[in-house]
Amino acid sequence: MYKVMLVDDEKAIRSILIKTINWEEKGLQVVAEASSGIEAINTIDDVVPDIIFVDIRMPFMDGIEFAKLAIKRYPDLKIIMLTAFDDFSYAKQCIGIGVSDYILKPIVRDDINESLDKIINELKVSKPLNVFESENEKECSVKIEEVKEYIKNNYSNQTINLTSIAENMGYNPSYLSRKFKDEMGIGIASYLTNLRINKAKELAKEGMIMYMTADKVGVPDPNYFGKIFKKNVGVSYSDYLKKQDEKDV
Amino acid sequence: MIKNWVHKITRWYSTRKLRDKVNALFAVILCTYFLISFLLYQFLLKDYINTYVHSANIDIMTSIESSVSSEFRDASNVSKWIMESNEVLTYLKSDEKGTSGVAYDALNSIYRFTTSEDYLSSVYIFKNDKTYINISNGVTYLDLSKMDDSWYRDIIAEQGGYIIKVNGGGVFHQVSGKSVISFIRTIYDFNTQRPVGTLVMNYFDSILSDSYASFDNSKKKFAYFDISDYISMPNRIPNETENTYFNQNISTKEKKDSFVIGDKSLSDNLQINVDFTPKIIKDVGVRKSLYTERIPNSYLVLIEEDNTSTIRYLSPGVIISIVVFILITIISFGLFGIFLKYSITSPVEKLVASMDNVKNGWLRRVSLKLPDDEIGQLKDSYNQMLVEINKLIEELIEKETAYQKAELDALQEQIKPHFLYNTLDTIGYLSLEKPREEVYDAIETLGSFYRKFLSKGQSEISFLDEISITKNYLKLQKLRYGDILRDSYDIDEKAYKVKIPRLIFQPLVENAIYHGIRPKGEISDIKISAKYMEKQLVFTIYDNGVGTDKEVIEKILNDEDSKSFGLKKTLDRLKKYYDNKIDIEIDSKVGFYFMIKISVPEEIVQYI
Repeated sequence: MYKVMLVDDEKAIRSILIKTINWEEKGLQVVAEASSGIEAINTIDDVVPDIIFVDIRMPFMDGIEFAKLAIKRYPDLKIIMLTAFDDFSYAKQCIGIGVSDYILKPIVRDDINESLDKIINELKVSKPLNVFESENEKECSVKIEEVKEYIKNNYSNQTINLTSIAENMGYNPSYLSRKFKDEMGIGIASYLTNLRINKAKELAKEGMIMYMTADKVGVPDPNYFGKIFKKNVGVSYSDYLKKQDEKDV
Repeated sequence: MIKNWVHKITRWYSTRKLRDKVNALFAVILCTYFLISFLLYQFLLKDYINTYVHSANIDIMTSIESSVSSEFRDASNVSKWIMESNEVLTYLKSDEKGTSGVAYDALNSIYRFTTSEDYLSSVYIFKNDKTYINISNGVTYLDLSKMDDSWYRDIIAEQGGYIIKVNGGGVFHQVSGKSVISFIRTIYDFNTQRPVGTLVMNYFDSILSDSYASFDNSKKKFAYFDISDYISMPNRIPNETENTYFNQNISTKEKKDSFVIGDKSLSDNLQINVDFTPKIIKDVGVRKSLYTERIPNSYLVLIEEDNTSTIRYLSPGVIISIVVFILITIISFGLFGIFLKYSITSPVEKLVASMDNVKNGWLRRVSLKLPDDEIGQLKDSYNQMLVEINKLIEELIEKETAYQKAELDALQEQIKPHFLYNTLDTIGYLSLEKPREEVYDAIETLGSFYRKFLSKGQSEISFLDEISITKNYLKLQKLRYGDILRDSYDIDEKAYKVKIPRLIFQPLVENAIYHGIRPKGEISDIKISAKYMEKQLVFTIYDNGVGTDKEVIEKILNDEDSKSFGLKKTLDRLKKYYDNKIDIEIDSKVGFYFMIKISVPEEIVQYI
């Protein structure tokens, strides 16, 4: 099964894709959804998809920017760009960055099936399913302190994730991930998120409103930020902010 | 009356073209010039010339008269010599008849005395009994019967002085028919002082004609007349003051008869009162002058008619001067006219003709070659003006085009299927996951939205319709993005009927969603109000999205922020619609709100 990720700021599009395409028949599985490029950057390492559908127009980080980053970090990744007919001049910017295909909105199933069939054939050549990748995980010592230091210095960068950290520090991502979890008892992504949430709490204590805080801590999509904040802290940012106000009073 | 005429002429003149004006001016100046010249000539020069002409003619007459008088004095002297000659006296006292010796001696002595007389035709010595001796040059006939008492009386009346008579008072006549001028006097005896005979010296008429021969030419005519028959007191020759003795009623025939020598045609003028001093008788016609002069001691009158045109009396130098002066004047006028034509009238006409093109709608510059003077400057200024006008027109067109483009863009922005496609996807999703009522509701909303949105192509709609479009739009957007906003409205009832350009509030609300609310990531409010306050209708569009700082607002209003180009265009359309008479305020606090306040003076608010 090849893994598919859907990135679109409209829930409707994601939902239609999931419901109208017969994924299983094609040997595909939708493993993750993201409502923005920011969210996708932060969750991509958890799922490691083979195919990503990306809407070209999204707030905070548009499809083009995301595609550039993703193709750089995951060279085998197949990206299908969802674009509106009249976004053509915008779509021209995609030329040369390695996008696999374009699908025009409104969504027509035949187009998607055709595109997917083509891409699956390509994947079958470059990434045969039954061959297990022999990960050449060199046994080397991971300097966890340095990694932590790097994360502390770069958490406000909206583009960092496991892969980019590993790349920058010169490690294999999955090896780094495992070693980090062994050492710290928590994944790198969670560590980064915790760091960001803690920073956000500090900023909330200063009374900073959510979208600004989100931007400051490297998650410039306030919706996604709100989601992870609530998940981690238990209350929404605005409620948290209110509490802080009440404490001050 | 005069005022009326002056007014008419002034009006006529002011409506003429420049060329006509110049021509009229030229005509007037030339007429005036010639009129003044004529008047000067008529009243100054002509008078002067006439005076000169008259005095010259009078001089001529005097000179002729004196020359004739001198001949006559000469004749008088000769006659005295003959009278006093012993031989002649002896002959007269003798009783001899025929050509005796005494007579011969007398004739001899007469010969002696008369040899030097050129004009002398014959000399007769009459005794009292009318017997005579004579010497003669050519044949002369005598009619002794004419020597009657009255004939003698005239001569004796002179008491020894001479009398001059034509043809001796009818006694003589020549074969040639020509007259002789007879010089007659009584011969007295020295001792007794009694008349003993009569001396007649006949001169050829050339004695008279030669007197004027040197002056005679085609322009001057001379003639002598014998007026003895017309003197009312025939016994003596009237003196110079006694003009009245001249009988003025002379018949044409008599006039012809009295003609002696010269131009016979002058007899026509003889009836004129003859003054015996040289003087002008009459200006006959324009250039004819008539002069008379009486020869003293005779009934002879000299008449002169002068036809010489006055111009002949002007010296060549003067004539050349006048001609040169006139030529210079005409040439000056000509040159001035040419100068006017080439440096003023023609350039102005060309300029006007070229400028006339503007009437046809061609705002083209004048590309004539004109002198570098005021007219050239006029052309340059005109061209400059055209450039400015063209620039203004271009600016206007540009502005208008930009406005229309903005209008079109705004509509295209909305009509573009992007929103429709997205909404269709949304409805598709609803149909898969939500109750069918919700799907129907969404389709109904979309239908309503597009019906009002397209507005049958009208560019103005009621505020009520605009709000309806906006509400539907927000409803559809909420379906797309989930519960990201709450919209509320506070609108004075009256305001629903306000006429506004369509698609003003929907774009503003769209702007609020994409630039204010979605970036905030929290459920936000959109508030729209329309309130009458302080004689203004005030619209506000408020959202508590992320807002923006003052710099960005400045950029939006100054057209520099491309992201908010849609907002700027929408506000510009509104401003343009209200002819810039509305007030637009943007107020915002970063992180908190963004508000557009549009104040329309009540007097320019229109209702459906």
